Order: sequence, then structure tokens, then C-alpha cells
Amino acid sequence: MFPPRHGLIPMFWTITLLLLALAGGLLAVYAPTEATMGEVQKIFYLHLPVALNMFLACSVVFVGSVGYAWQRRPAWDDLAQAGAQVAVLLCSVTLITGMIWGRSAWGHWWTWSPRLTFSLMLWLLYVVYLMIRPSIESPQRRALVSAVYGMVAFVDVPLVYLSTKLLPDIHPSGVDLDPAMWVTLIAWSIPITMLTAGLIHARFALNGAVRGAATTEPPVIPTDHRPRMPEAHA
Amino acid sequence: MTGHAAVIVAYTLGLCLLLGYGAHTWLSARALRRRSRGRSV
Amino acid sequence: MNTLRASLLLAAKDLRIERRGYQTLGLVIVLGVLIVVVLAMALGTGGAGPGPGAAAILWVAYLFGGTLCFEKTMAVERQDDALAGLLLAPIERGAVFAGKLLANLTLMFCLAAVITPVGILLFHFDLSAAPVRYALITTLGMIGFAAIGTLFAAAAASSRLQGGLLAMLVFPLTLPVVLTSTQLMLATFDPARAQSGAAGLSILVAFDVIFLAASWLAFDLLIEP
Repeated sequence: MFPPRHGLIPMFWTITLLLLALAGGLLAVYAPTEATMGEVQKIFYLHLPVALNMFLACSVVFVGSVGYAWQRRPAWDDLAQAGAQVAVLLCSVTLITGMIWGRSAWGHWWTWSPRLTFSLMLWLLYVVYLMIRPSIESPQRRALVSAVYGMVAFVDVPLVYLSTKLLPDIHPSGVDLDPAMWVTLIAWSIPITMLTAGLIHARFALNGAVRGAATTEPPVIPTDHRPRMPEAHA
Repeated sequence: MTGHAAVIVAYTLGLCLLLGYGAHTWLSARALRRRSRGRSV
Repeated sequence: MNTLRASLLLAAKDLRIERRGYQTLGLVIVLGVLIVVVLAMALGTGGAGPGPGAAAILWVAYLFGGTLCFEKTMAVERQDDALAGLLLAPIERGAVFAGKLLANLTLMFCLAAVITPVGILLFHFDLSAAPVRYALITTLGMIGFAAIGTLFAAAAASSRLQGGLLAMLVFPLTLPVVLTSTQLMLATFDPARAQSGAAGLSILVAFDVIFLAASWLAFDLLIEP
């Protein structure tokens, strides 16, 4: 049964949250203030790990899509959908943290610099994936169209990156980090990656459960309005 | 916006979104489980 | 019958259907002219017009018109179960894709041939500076766009995807092509931004190759009666 009360998954989430708290503590007391940008640079420790994990989620969509196109098992489609949901979430967080950073560092919420454009286009790509799904009625057909879209979208990611290279750039690219900054960055990367994996897994299980509930059981039509009998073991 | 405030806002929003999504997933799964258990009784 | 001949025959069939009624072209050209006129009124009635941006506006009109073309050429196959007959025919699925792609591209070129002069007139847009380059960028951009469009039109045709949703599927995927070609157009006609010339063109060619290959391969999965 999902989610179980005991076992590996609650332990995984406990460790993730503990590590996240640890990383937060490290950020508050240990991380040095950067010389040129000042304190705003601290957004970086959330921004970069989330942005990197976004690509992880995108590859999960790809893996799920290829798996579905190959084997036609609905579980692969659940995985691809879970990946897309988490990818959109991570991309939103990347955009939001990036915009707050940009507002402080450059004075604008938004500029059409390559990486911002890239993140926005990626966000659109996977939001459309999620939005298109409900408008295809047949589950098999939906899974198939989504799988093809998921595959093409993944191939599209490097192209999007390449195309944004044509725009003028102000985004910091190579970062020189002191050892203390590296420690903080790694301390944040680990729980964020675990969080991504946990979210994808939880969504995967939920998508499967929703699909199971939709296909196996007919809708319950209430026949009377009396309160339901209390359950026997209660 | 000062640097300090920007950092606080960014982390609060970011973590709220990430953890909130996790909590939403967990609650939906729980609701679904309860509903299907209610049906089978 | 080899694949090339089969795809040419299929494209010719679609164009013959089109020539008998001009149902798609009429619609698409009017839509294109409307887009250009609306944007011209929004941007250009007061002053000098959008200048080099006119190229980008025309490009947007081609793309929206194109999406409608993809929808229409596939909708033809849905009537009388024509798609089932097409798939039963002893030809490769790849040929079906190539035929549809050719028909779509031809329609898009016809559309461009009509609305480009309209745009030039309304925007006071000087195409004479680089007409060959303009045609080249437009053609290359359209090939990549039409490849993805033809692929997902097949998906839309057999899943009763509502109209308009095809544009939503096609635009995010083809954003790299759209961005590259609009940047190239701006670079061509705006002397201030003429730095990313040749590199952009080769990127566009690479996109076309990738999109053509990807949609050729994926078409087999999506097409079904």
C-alpha cells in the first residue's frame, strides 16, 4: 500500500528532510558572502541544484516515453508523466529563484538572456506535455501521443539550448567557488537530488493508483443520503 | 530588494513549492487510498 | 513502387484535392492576411512601422497558417476512412509521411507567396536588401516546422484532439526553429545585429535534419486509423 507507514520510503523522506535542514543550517552560518554580488549569491545554492535536477526529471520523461513506445505498459506512461510533473515544478523553482536573483543583481525581473530563455522554453515544453494529456480521451492513445511528445521534447532540449546561444548573454557562466562554497553547494545538491527522486517516485505511485482507480472500478453513484455505517473495526 | 530579503524570499518560495508539492502528492495518495477502501467495504 | 515515387504520388493527390476546391488555401491565406493586418494595425498605424521586425511578423503569420494546413491535410484522410485505405496500401509509412510533408510544404509556400507582398506593402518593408537570404531562411525554417507539424497532425487526426490544440503541441517543440529563424531575419535586415549570420544558418540546417529524422521515425508509431 502506498505510502507505507514503515519501511524504506518514510526513512528516505526523513533522511532527505534532515539533510535539507542541515543544508539550511550550513547556509545560514557557514556559507561565505561572495565579494562582488554580495549576499544575493546565496540563492545559487538552491538555484543550481534545482536546475541540474530539472534535467534529471526531463531524462525520466524520456526513459518513460521510450519504455512505453517499446513495451506499451501503462506503468512507463505513469513514470513519464511523473517525470514531467516534477520537471515543471523544478523548472518553475529555477525560474522563480533566478528571477529574484536577477532582480537583485541586474535590476530586472526578466531579460532575454540565453539561459533565461532556455528555462522558459523548457518550462513551456513540459507544461504543454501535461496540458495536452487530459484532452486525449483514449488512455492508450494518450499514452502513445505523450510518449512521442516526450521523446521529441527530450531531443528538443539541446536544440533549444543551441538556439538560445544566438542571443546576447549576461548570465554568469563559469563560477569560481572557494572550498567553503563548494561544501555548501554539495550539501544542498544531495538533499535536492533526493527530493527529486522521492517526488518522482511518489508521483509515479500516485499516477499508477489514479489510473488503477479509473480503470478497474465503476463510478459510485450514491443511492441515498444517509450517513454511511461506521466501519466494523473502528 | 536587498540581498538578504531576496535570499529569504527565494528560499522560502522555492522550498515551499518543492515540499508543498510533495505534501500534495502524499495527501492525494492518502485520499485515494481511503476512497478505494471505503468503496470495497 | 519505390518510396520516393509513392510519396510524390501522395503529395500530388493531396494537392489535386486542394486544387478542386481551394478549401485549405483559401482559409489559410485569409488567416495569414488577417494576422498581418491586425499586427500592422497594432504596430504600424501611428509611425514608421516595425522595420526589420516585419520579417519576424510575417514569419509568425506563416507558422499559424501552416498549423492550419497540417490540420486540414490530415482531416482529409479522416473522411470516409481514407486513412485506413492509405495504411493498407503496399507502401512504406515513411512514404505517407513524406507525401504529407511535401503537400504541407507546398501549401505553406503558396501561403508565403501571397502574404509576403501584403506584409511588404503594409509594413514598408524593404525585402530587396536580401531576397535570396530571406527565402532561404524561410524555406529552412518551414521544413523543420512542417516536419514536426505533420507528425503531430497524424496524432491529432486519430485521437480527436480538438482544433487549436495542434498549435499547442507544435509550437513549443519548434521554438528552437522559430527563435533561430527570427533571430536570423533580424540579423539579416538589421545592420546593428548582423553578427550571428553564418553560424545561425548552419544551426537551422542541423535543426531541420534532426526534426526530419525524428518525425520520420516517430510517424510510424502515431499513425493509425
